[in-house]
Amino acid sequence: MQNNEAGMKGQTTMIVLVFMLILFAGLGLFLFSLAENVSQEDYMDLYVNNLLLSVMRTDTGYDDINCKSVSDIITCSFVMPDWICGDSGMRCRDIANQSLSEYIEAFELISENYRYALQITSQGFVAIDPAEGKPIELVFGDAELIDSRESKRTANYAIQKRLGGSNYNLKATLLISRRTD
Amino acid sequence: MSLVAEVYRVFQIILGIILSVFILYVLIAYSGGYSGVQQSLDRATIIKNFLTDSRSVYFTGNAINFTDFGAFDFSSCEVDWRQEPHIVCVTEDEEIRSESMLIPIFFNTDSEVVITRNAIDFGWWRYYYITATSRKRILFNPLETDDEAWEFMIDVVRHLPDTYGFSPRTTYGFCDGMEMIENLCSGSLCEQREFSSLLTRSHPGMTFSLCTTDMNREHRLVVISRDCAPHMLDRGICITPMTNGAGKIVFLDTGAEYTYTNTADIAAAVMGRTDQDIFRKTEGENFLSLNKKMLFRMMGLAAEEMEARSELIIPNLPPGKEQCITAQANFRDSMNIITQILELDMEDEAIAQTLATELDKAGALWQSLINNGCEHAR
Amino acid sequence: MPGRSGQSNIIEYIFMTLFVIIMIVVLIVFISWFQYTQIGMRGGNLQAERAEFLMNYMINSPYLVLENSMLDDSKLTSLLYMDDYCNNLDGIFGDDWSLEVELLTSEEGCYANCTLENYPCCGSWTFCDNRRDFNKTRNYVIPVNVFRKMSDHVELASMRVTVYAK
Repeated sequence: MQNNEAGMKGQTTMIVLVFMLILFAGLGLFLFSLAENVSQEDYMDLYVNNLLLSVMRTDTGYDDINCKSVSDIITCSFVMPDWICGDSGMRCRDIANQSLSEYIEAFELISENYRYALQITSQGFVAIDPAEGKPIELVFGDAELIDSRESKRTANYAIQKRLGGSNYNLKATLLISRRTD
Repeated sequence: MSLVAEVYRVFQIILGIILSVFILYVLIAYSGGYSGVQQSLDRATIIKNFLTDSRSVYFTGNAINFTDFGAFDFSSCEVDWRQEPHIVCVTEDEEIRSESMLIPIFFNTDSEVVITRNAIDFGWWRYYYITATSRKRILFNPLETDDEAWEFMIDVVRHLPDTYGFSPRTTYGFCDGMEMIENLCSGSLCEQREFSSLLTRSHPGMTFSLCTTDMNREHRLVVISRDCAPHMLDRGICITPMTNGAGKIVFLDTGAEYTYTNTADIAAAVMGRTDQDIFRKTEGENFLSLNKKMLFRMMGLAAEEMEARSELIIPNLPPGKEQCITAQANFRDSMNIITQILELDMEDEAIAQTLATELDKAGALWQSLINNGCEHAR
Repeated sequence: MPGRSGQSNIIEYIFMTLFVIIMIVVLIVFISWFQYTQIGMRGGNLQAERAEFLMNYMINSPYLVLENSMLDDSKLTSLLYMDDYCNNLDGIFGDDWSLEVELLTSEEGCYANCTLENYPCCGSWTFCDNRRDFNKTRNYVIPVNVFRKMSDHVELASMRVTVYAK
């Protein structure tokens, strides 16, 4: 009987060993399948960077030298927000608001799945709003995204423009975050 | 009872041996085969990673280090340019073929290489090529040192790899008879930009005699002479300075002679090792053939496209751009001539010189288009 | 009964041995299936990597662009009407792709498929779309600009690269 019991123990141990082996292999496969697809990351980085680059270079349709491209209009909005673009009768700040949302939301991927914010900051100088006496902050899109703790993708674009005889360096930062609603 | 127990014991032992042998056989056969497959996969992955990194340098122009070749022996890897250019590594047990290269890459497969990009600018088109170099000491042996030959040497140096800030380095110097002159830059070896800068200073009365010193694997000898004779030496290459846009490259170890039309051809020839393939061609000859194939194919397509583009633009020019009509028409005709020349035998020196003349003309016409506001500068 | 105990031990032992062999075979089959899945996943990843490479190559290719990520409408249109353009481009990009470029903005309201007749008032180009009998496609879209050669304007566009598994 004792012999039999020992034998049974041995057999049970062997069965357990084989099961453990299969369990670990299965666990390995499960973990492997959880690993993030790196290619998708690279693609989204390329997408966001190209989105910002392309939007900044797009012409607005106004021939006024201060309002020709989106980056021109953004600089104008920052430095001389009340400038009227050509014969449009519209301020460059208002045109910037309108065109940016139109251009960025023209891409289905963004308009359906992502929230975005475009933040413009000065580089090497501080622009003060004469009415409020505070540094000018320019944000287009969903301003709440800037300080939120959600996972975001970022792209940066340097704007160097000459307006009214002076050189201005600005930085445009595009932030996008997946919609959760 | 004891007899039964003994029989049972024997049975256990026999079955145990059979089972053990079976398990052992399965494990050895499977793991042996698997490890072989895994090694092949790893080698193929490394080649693929190399192509990915080379392409990244091709797009961005930013040089990088590549060290994955150190994992295995890739010395058998070479470029197969005869069909669709790709990398092929043949050993006793396996053959690994990469996907199509799609871009020109002149590579070494030592454990550490630096991948850099260089370009030839034709004005209306730019040709990029990639070099992946291990530690290299390029020694120039200019047997003629008149201004023309010296200027030619400067142009060649500018189109060779610049590994400044990276390791392993490609350094440059001279060979004069039995002497190697390498520590020319503040007592140290010269990088490409330093050597280039050194050469642009005047060179009164400098003469060099044929290099006869011993060299090791890291060295590449580049003789510059208007009189390159096969087998004048038993290693290195000899280049005749360009005359009317073409010249000769002679591979001194095999005696093979080729016509070249641009400095990328020279870079290709310099990069190759002296090992010969089954066609008895050295690696340098294969890189040179690869460069010609890719350059002429890409240039042909570019010229054909630019011809069609000018043809499209002419009738659609807006008012105020009338000065562009004739300029575009001349450029279109120039592109047409280049397309036709590229269909001929580019090994013929006279045809190569004709191509060079037409390329110069096309470059001037393109510049004229830019000056007249008909095209944007690149 | 010792005889019966001995026999049952042997049978038990045989069953046990058989069970272990079956488990080993199951493990081998499982590992093979795992490898097969890995290869399948790798294939999918390879396609994604190929698409990413093509996108990067095309937005920098002198055959298509004026500068990085800015396609030239005159180059796009003239390419379409070159003899055997698709075979020629295969030598540059490989032979498993198709490309579509579509304007999203157009000052002149020109969005039609480009032909030699309607150029420059057009806004859509499709290259090498005769490979649609290939299986398993992956496509990626990225934002780009299109430079209008005739009006000197820069428009916003989307570029779709489709990669086919052969």
